[in-house]
Parts: sequence; structure tokens; C-alpha cells
Amino acid sequence: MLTKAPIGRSPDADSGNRWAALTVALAAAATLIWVVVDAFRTTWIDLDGPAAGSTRATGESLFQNWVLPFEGLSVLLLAALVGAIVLSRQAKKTAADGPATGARAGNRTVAGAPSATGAPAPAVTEPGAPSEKEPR
Amino acid sequence: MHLAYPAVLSALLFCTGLYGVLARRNAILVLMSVELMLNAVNLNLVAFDVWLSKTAEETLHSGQALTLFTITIAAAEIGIGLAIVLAVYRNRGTSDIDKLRDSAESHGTDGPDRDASTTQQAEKAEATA
Repeated sequence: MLTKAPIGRSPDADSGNRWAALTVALAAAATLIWVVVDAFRTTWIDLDGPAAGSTRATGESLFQNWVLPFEGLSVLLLAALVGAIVLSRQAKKTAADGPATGARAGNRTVAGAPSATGAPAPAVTEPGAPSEKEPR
Repeated sequence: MHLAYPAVLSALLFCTGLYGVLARRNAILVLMSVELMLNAVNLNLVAFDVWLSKTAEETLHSGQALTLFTITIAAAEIGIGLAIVLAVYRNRGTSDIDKLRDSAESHGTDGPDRDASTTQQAEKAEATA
């Protein structure tokens, strides 16, 4: 439904600017690979000795030098969590409030009884949402 | 190991993501391509952190720490992005980014543009009536 994953070729998965995108991507790839290979031609990573990215080293540096960004990221994750809940829950509430829009759009899943709240429609600023005074 | 190997691999990953962002039509596939680009950046960070921590005396392991931060931010971004795509799909019945042209400038009398704008104007009139 959302990804529309058929089996076989799907001609409308790519937009019309497929060849322009392919050109841009190939040009960027050629430029990046040329620059990177030219810059690090004589550079070698020494993989002998103890591992560089061990859990101990990463944890020590994370909790000694990077504590403040780490704690800031927890706040960002909380904000993202609340934002995702608000975004997906608003749509469900408006779908339950206005069953006419669900019937009109035809692809909205109205959960539960159509008028579970019984209250008149609040001022939800959804584009294309009709007022409840005018049933269609 | 040559340092150019992970750098070239991450450049290829980044350009695959770039092609996906530019050419794909579905919003979820565009988000997946953005994730590819972020993972290319992660690969670069880890590879260069290994190289620099081997050569330097004192290191902050900034590549490792920033990779963890990038993974976290990518998780938050994909959560918000999927919520937005789901809301758009519920409102409009499609997540096709070629058809979401509300903020596009009108170029006169293009065929699909005019069609979309007239339907949108009709919806606005219905909403205000």
C-alpha cells in the first residue's frame, strides 16, 4: 500500500528525471572517487595491535568527553518520540471526528464508532476537512 | 589496509543514496535513500577515526562518538519522517512526491499542475463554504 511493492518491473517507481538523476549521481561518484583516491593514495591504516574501536575505548571516550552531547541527544529523542506520537495521533482523531471525510477520501480507516465523541467538531485545521454542519 | 577502500565504498554508498533521492518517486524510498547517505557518512567517520587514533597520541575518539550520535539522530529522523509520510498518505491517499505540489509555483497552464491546482482550489472552496 505505502511502498507499492509489486513483483517485476514497476515503471512508475522512478520519476521522470531518472536520467538526470543518474547523470548527477554518476558525476558525483566519479568526482568523489577521484578526489578520495588521489588524496589517500599513500595512506594506510595500521590494523595490527589492539583493536581501535573496542567497546571499552568507545565507552570511556563517550562518557568522559562526550557526555553533554549524549545527554542532549536523549532530549532530542524524547522530542522526536513526542512529535511522532502527536503526528500520528492527530490524524486518527480527525478521522474519528469527521466520518464524512473518511467516506469521501475512501482510503481512510475510521476506527470504532463514527461518532464516538458526540461533541461537535473542534476547530481542527485540516486542509480539505469539511465542517460537520454540511454533510455531503 | 588502504584507507582509500572504505572511502571509496562510502562514496559509492553516498552516490547510490543521491540517485535514490533524486530519482525515486515514493516518499518512503526517498527516506531509505537518505538513510543510505547517512550510513555512508558513518562509514567515513569510523574509518577515519581508526586511522587517526592509530597515528595520534591523544584521541577523543570523536569518530566513534559522532557515529553513535548520527545513528541516534537518524533514528529520530526516520521516526518523524515516517509519521509525516503516514499523515500525508492518510490525508491525500498517496505518498507520491510528484503529486504533492501544493508548495510549487504555478507555471501557467501545465496539464497536471493545472489539474491539481483546480482540485485543490475546489477543496479549499468546499472547506471554506
